[in-house]
Amino acid sequence: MTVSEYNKCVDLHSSAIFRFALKQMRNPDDAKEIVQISFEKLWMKHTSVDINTAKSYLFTTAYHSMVDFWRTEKPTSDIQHLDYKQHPAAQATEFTGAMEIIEKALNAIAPIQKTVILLRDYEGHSYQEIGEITGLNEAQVKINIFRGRKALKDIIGNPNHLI
Amino acid sequence: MEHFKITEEQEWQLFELLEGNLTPQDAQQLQQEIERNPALKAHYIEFQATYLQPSPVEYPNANSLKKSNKNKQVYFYFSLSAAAAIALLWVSNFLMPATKSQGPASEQTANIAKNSPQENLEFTPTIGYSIPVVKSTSRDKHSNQSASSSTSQAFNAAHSADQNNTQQRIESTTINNTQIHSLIVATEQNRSTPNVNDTAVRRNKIRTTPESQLANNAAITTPKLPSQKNKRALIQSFYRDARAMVENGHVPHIKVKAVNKDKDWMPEFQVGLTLENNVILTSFNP
Repeated sequence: MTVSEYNKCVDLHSSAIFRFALKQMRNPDDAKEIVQISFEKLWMKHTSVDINTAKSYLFTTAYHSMVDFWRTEKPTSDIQHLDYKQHPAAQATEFTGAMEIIEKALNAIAPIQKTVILLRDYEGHSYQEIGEITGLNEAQVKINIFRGRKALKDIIGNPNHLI
Repeated sequence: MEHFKITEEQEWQLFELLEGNLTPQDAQQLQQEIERNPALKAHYIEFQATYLQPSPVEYPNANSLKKSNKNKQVYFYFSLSAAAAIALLWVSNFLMPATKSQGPASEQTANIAKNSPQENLEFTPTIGYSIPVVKSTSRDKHSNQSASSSTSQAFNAAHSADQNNTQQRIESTTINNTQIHSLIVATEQNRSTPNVNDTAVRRNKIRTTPESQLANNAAITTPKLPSQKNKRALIQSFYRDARAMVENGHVPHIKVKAVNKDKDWMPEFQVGLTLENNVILTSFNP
């Protein structure tokens, strides 16, 4: 991958990685850090990574960085949640009504289910690509998506589950 | 929703339909079933609601992630020019005539060399010495005293010439049955730093006296050195040699030798690059 191709990757995928990280981390600063780490690692290996596989590489790196972050994370405070709400990018993703319930429901389901659903719906990745990013096989990806959607469906059908 | 319960198998079918994993026939059949079954339709609508719509989020610092290849080019050209400069300095160290940068003693030597005879001269074959020495063709019967006197004459001549800015004519000196070339004798006085050229001349404590200087000026004959090649001729010669070596399958020989092992002096090294016919000599003092 050349320098210009790398810069093209920044234009194409930085926002997607940021959105993916923001949904997962729920903190704009942490999400920005994840984006920077992902692109820094891509730049370090830009000579060996092809532009066609760069998107998958970026999401894989971002996901692993988030997993590392969660392992060392301290308990989430309310302040972080407030920061997330105040960020313009986060405000753009805030919805009212059913969509707000779905947003909240997303945070209530298992992290791996949330991850595969986000990758599937936001980025349109195939089961195989999601499997490469998360380290699961295709069947596991599919079953996690199903379970995640079923959990979301149950929450939507009975919002009292969120309380 | 309690009264609209469906089986897990039906939920999986709805999921497969929404994911687009069913064949067109199966999908059409399930759609018809959904229309007929209100419970299935209710769950189908709920499943549809779980599909998220991408929100328009923009990463604010995208430009800070971009890279420029300007720095690489700058570093490349900088390193290239530095390497070229080092190479030029190294080559010029070999090719620069010795008379251009060695002060008044060298100028004096150059003046003498113009009228030096070419016969009976040879350069010593070892890399360690580059002093031209005139071979003695007849056994010299002079004593040490006469040698000292003769050397004094040569020094007088050199000193006189330096003062009057006139053409030098210096004769070879004989010390211990070996004739020392007048260049060595003439430049010995101007040299302040001891080095490998300190031979019998310095060891025998040669000194000049004004009387002998005047008396022997007229009798001095200057030996001729071989005419020096100019820079262009040297480069051409080296090029021809290098090419001939490559054509003959030879490899240039590089030899590094410590030439001054006296304890009082800093050891001096000489580097010799031997081509087909030329030996390039340089020396350095660490």
